[in-house]
Amino acid sequence: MATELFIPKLGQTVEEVKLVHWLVADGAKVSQGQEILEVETDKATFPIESPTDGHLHIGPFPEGEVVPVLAVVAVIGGPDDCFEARRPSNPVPTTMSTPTPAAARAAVPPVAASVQEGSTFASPRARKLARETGVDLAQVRPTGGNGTRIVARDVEALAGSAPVAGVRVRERVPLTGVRGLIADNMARSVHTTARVTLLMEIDATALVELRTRHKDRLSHEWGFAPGYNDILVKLVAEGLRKFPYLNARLAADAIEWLEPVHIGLAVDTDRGLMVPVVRDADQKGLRQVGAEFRERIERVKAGRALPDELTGGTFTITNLGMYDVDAFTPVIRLPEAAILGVGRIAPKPAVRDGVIVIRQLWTLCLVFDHRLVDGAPAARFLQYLKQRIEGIVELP
Amino acid sequence: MKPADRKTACSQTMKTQGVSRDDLLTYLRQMMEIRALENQIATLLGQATLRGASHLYAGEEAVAVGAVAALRDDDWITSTHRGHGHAHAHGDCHAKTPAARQEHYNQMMAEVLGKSGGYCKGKGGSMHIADVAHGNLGATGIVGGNLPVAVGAALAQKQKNSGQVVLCFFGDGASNTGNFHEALNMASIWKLPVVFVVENNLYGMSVPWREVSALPDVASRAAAYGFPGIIVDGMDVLAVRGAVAEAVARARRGEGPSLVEAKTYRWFGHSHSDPRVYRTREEEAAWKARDPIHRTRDDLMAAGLMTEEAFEQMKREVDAKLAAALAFAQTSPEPKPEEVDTDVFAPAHTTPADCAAEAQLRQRLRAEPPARVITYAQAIQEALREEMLRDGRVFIMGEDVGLYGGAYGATRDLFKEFGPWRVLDTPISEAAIGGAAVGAAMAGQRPVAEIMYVDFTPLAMDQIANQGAKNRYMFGGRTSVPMVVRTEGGAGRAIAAHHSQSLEALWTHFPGIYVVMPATPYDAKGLLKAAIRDDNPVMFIEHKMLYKEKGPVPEGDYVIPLGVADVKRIGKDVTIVTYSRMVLLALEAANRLALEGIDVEVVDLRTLKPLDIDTVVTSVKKTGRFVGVTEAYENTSFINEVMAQVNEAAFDWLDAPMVRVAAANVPVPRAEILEDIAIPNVERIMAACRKAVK
Repeated sequence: MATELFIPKLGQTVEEVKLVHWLVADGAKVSQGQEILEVETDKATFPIESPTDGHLHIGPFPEGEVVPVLAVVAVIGGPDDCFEARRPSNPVPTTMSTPTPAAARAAVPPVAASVQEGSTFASPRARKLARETGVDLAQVRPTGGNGTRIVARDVEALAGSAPVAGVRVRERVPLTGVRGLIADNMARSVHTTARVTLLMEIDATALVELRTRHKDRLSHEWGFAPGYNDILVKLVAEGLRKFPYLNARLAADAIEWLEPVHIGLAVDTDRGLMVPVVRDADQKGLRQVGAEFRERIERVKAGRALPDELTGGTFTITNLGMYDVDAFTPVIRLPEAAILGVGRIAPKPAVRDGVIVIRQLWTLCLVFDHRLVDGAPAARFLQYLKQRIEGIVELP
Repeated sequence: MKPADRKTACSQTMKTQGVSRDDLLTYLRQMMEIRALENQIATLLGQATLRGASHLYAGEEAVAVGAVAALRDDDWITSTHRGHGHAHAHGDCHAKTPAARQEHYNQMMAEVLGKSGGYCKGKGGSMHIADVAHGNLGATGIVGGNLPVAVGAALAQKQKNSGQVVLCFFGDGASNTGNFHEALNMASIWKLPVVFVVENNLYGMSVPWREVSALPDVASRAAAYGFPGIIVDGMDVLAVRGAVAEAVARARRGEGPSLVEAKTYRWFGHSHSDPRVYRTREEEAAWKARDPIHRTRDDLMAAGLMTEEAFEQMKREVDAKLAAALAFAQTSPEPKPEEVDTDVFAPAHTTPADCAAEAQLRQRLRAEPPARVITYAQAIQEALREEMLRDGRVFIMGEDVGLYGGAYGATRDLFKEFGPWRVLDTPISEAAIGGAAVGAAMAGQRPVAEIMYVDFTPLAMDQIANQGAKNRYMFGGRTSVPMVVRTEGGAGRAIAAHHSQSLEALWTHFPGIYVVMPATPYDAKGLLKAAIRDDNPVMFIEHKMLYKEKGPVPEGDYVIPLGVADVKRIGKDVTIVTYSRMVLLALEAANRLALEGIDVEVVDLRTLKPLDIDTVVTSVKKTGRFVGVTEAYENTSFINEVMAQVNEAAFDWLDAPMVRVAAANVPVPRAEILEDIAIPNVERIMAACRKAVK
């Protein structure tokens, strides 16, 4: 009896996924727990594991097609089983409900169909490249074989990634999966938001001393010592309660101030930038916030984060201080209203009471979308953070 | 014959030959065991529980047993498709205890049944039983196939001065093959220690000997080669033993070969499916009345050396032994499926470190100004000379390789340095050259045989491909055939269709043989040394237009491992895969295409087998375009195989259809203008590259 392979519900908000890539060939033997399919939600890509041992028989969904969750996309059984006989229902492929450029690409008809419809052929290399870059071959002008065959350079030209003449490309990283999502989201943000950046230098000497004082004890009691990111998440969350216009999003006809405060923290992983989220950070203690982030970051880095852990943020913090960056202007993660860029804490000369002294200085960079917030209110939020940090006497 | 006369005759013969009662009882037992084995196999075939061809030896037992009885333990035999008798007589003599003899009998039966416990692990079967470790160079399915092999094994004994003799069995049918004449001639000119034993059972399959030979006796043909031809009663074990013993003694004395013709008869048909319509039942009955087993039994009894009871006891023992062998064979496991592709080649001695060292040497040679430049012919000669100095087993044989120094000068001066027994001028007998190399290699030498033109290699194809290339596999991995056949091919000298071909595809087709085709002097020297040291047959095909080409070649020893291609030019737009002289044309085409902005990568395969497909695929994945260039006929050329493998391994990386540039499917014409059209040139290679990148 063949076992059905269906798309699991990858989180509360996920209704559809895109079939990115089958990791094993149709008909091949698979074993229970083996990753056999990569799917993509609007947030990230996820591997789907085989529920059993057997031969994989893939259903009639081309790679790139969007299917609803719980759709049966393959069966796993004996070598001679076939998908059709076991298929209980025929889910109607739909497009993503909130179209993004990535989803729009996913909705493009499969490559083979477009080639069959037209009279042009595409080389195997061109097809492979088109798959990897999401280029629709129907849109490509063929130049190979006297204009009868789409070749790799034609796809490259449309993908906008044609190597500049005379420049040798060492390696091509296809814009698929997480990398493709990052590219789409960042471009959309930069092209649609009205970005303003505020830089503020903060004296973190008291914070450094406070953290140093409690570090060993908490490390022993909590199992970890809270870092500056954890403390900042707490301070920001509490600040957003007081300045709700930065905990907001832009709808079609309104600015929506959001009830919960969910803070995202940008994390660098092998698969690209990921943003695990801690919900209701304002209502949780420092210990819980720190513990949740640690657990999530670990899962994100292992590629095992759940979709709900990567979605639903209302404000994002990104820290490049560990790379000795002093200040930078990050890109707002849509549909959020602002993002906080965090530089390094370093001893620097400062003027106190007319005297140059060495203090632990820290630059915070608030990037906000001027469509939702004006400069002065945003500055007030940053000033609030400065006061909290400079006057800190106990951990939040 | 009256019993009294019989007694006298038998006693006298035994005395003359120095044969004891025990010896004669052993001969009788061996003959009965052969008969029992053959009868059992006939039964199994009749029950259809045994498949495959079995050519049964029943009736001819006295020949194998008598001839092998005349040998020393360190002597050698070669056998035939009707070989169970030879293998049993030989194996039984080498087994020194009853247990060892039973084990030998078991292995015979298991091999006939194609079981893993057989002499050849079930890979050879009835027609290919061998025991090379003990001097049985094996049976062959090709009639006459082992005559040249026996000559080569005998040549090895002569070179080693071992005092050992080779006994070569064959049938009346084989004595009408070219191999017979080439082998007998070659053995006689070099006075080799070989005894040819022809089992004349009167029929070559169905055709009577009298209809295919004007001479009534095969033995008469020995006169043509200047050595004795003796006729003997093949139904009399002592008569056979006596004649062969005399021939063996003559061979051991260094006086050369003999031909012993044993007149005999097979009880069964040629094979199981033979209705024997070509012979009368009266004729069969007359021969069966002369059963060699009865003859020996009666002799023993007449001489008072054996009682009726003793004979019955011997019969019971043979039956028990046969039952045990059958039980062993039937319970012996089938060969494991993974055995299907083991034993094709002897393992390589080269390591990844050798490959890395050679890659470094190549890089250094390209980076530095050449310290020494010599021709391709000199590089070949240097490799031969160095290997002959390094290893006393290496020797050269071929047409005009001696004083003349080879048709293209590749063996120049070696005759003077190494003498006539290590640089042998052969008769114009390509089959015997190939087969002698096989036999010498199996007997421990490392021959380098030269076939003057690759166009002539089909004359030696059976010997090199059917015997040399397959013996290791057929014999269950229990032999190796370390030999090199040097030859040259290619067009360019306006010498037309019999001296200008590129026939490498004939050779790459056979399993068990490597094919090497160097393009530069550096490659030629390093690859030839590797080929000589390799334990497998290697077809080393040079190119006649390259002998005068010069290039940097390191002095002294270096080896290029077989199966490593060389990227002769790095490029990004299109990959040319080629070998031999076409490498030079491809490089010229690449240099000219660079002016058009097309950046060509040139991969020189260097060895076609083993094929370095990884280097080819890596290049195709980079460029996305493949142009295969070969000087061979386009139809079924080796480059087609490369294209099929690229298609399997790199289809998704191809950006254009693969393109071939090959010779026209016509005999190579004499007229230069036609030859230039028929053979790839630089312009055609350039056009193919333009087509691929267009």
